[in-house]
Amino acid sequence: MQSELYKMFAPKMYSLCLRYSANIHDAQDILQEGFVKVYDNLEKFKWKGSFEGWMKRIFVNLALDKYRSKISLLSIDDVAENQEPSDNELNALDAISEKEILELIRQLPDQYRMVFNLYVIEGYSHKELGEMLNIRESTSRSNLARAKMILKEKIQFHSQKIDKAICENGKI
Amino acid sequence: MERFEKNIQEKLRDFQVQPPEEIWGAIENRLVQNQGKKFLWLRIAAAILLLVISITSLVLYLPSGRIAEPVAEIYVPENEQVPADSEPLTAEPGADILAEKDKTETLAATTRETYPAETLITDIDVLSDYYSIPDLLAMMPKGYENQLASQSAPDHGYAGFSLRIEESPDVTYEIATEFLAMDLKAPDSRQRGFALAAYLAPQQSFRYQRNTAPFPYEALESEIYSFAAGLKFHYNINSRWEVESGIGYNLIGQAVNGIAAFSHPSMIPLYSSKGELISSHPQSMSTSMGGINFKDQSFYFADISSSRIFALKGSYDESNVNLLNKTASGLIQHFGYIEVPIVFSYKIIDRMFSMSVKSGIAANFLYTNNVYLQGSAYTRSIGESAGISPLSWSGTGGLSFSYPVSDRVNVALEPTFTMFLTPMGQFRTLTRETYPYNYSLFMGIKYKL
Repeated sequence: MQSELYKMFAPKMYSLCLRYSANIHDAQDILQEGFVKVYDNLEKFKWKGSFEGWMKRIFVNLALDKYRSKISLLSIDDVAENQEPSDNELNALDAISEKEILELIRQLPDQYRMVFNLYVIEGYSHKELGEMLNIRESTSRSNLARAKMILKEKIQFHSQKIDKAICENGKI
Repeated sequence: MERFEKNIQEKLRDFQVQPPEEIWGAIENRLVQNQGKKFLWLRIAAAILLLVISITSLVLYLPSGRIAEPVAEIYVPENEQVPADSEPLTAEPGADILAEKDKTETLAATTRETYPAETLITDIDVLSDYYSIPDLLAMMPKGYENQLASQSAPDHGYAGFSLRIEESPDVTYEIATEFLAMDLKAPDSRQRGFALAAYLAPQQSFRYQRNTAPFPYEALESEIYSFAAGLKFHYNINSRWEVESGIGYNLIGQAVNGIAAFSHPSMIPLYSSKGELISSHPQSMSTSMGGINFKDQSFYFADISSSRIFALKGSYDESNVNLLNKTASGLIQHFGYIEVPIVFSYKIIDRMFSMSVKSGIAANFLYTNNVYLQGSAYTRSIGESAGISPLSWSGTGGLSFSYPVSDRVNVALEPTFTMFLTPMGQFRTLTRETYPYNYSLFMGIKYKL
């Protein structure tokens, strides 16, 4: 039963772990710890909500623990929230794969990455993020804005690189 | 939520990445370890309880070292005439005592004599030779009412018979015998009973693998030298047979060769020339005695003889690893078992020196589990083995040479071979069918209680 559960959920949970980790080593650590915790606490799950949701919370909490254990004193400037993205930016996003987006998210500074994942993918509010990461709500907002700005730049740059490569290969 | 965020959320929410295969092995190892730790104390408590029950049962239910009043009696009323030359019975075996006597005279003895059964009866055949029912009936004077009764009382552990000759209402002859049904021979009270022993044994330990599932790296593992120690209770059932039980600590294991360790400051990852992480902790490896989980992150381990180590990414590459300082090579797997044996021994030589053959079984409860790194000047614990069964059964056999240094104290030397009867691993996939064994030289002191 344990291996079946692992086979079913490991790819999705590994993707989550990678998203929260700057390096593969940390992601694999979280994946191991997470599954051990899931098996140890399986009896406590009441089968009332989503099992996958329950598992995700375990992995997210472990990722947060890992982040807290090596939190660095980053100087995070408050920045104004970004404007709506242009059509170009949205097209660029469509052009790159999920794997590439994942890689770009992992390149974000630790705190930006945590805020971005928790807010955008997991759907927590800035108030909740403030409590989870022990930061002010306004800091959470500005971190998110900065994270998005960096990501958009990276996506744009990545998209241009692909366009250039295609042109050089004479495909257009 | 703005469109950009929504697009990313949709792309990544159900995105899946297949993790490396090694991860499941590492998780399985962790689960096995957790399971073993969960029930370890419960199992030790059960073993101690079993030991207490065994010893109590031995004390309560085995026959005691003394015969409770077993007697052979020959008595007649005091008013009968006593022949002057009547000889008292001696303590030698019944044949010698009674063959020279006139049986009628014996029956007519007027003194009441009581002898311990063992002085008269050494064997039931001897008894029947002289007191067989036809003989006794033939001896009876005509006209007398004879009564011969056999008696037995197996529930008390005694049996015997009696003869009553009623000459008249006032005169009755009676011969009554009683003997211990379980042991006609008198026990040697010096040999019967309990003894307490303490022992220590240097030993050589290794393992056997069933041919059906050989471990591919057999040649890369070798025996180790370790020890066993403990306390035992001995009980002499009779002059030849002895049973012993107790509690001991038995350290076994093996050496794992061809593993190099490099000093690797914690949390500093090692990268290849392409900038990829070539290894990370936790590392783990496979051996015939379970999977090793390396916990000490200050080392990077590399297999220089094969590919037994699971690194999460990449394998041993000298060009990268040589950047680190090699500190030691070779691992030792140690397993400490709490052992509860029950062993029977039979004395084949019983002189000043005694020699016995012995054989028995033992329940082995896994108590300590360590893997050590062996440097030239130090030994350091760097992890533990996973997949080891918390309870295993072993069989033991050997010789015991004993010499008495005083009435109560014996010293003993026992060359012994012990081997697991059940595989030491919980899962065949992790440890295969490995049966540890050891050659031990037990040295002990036995004190008779």
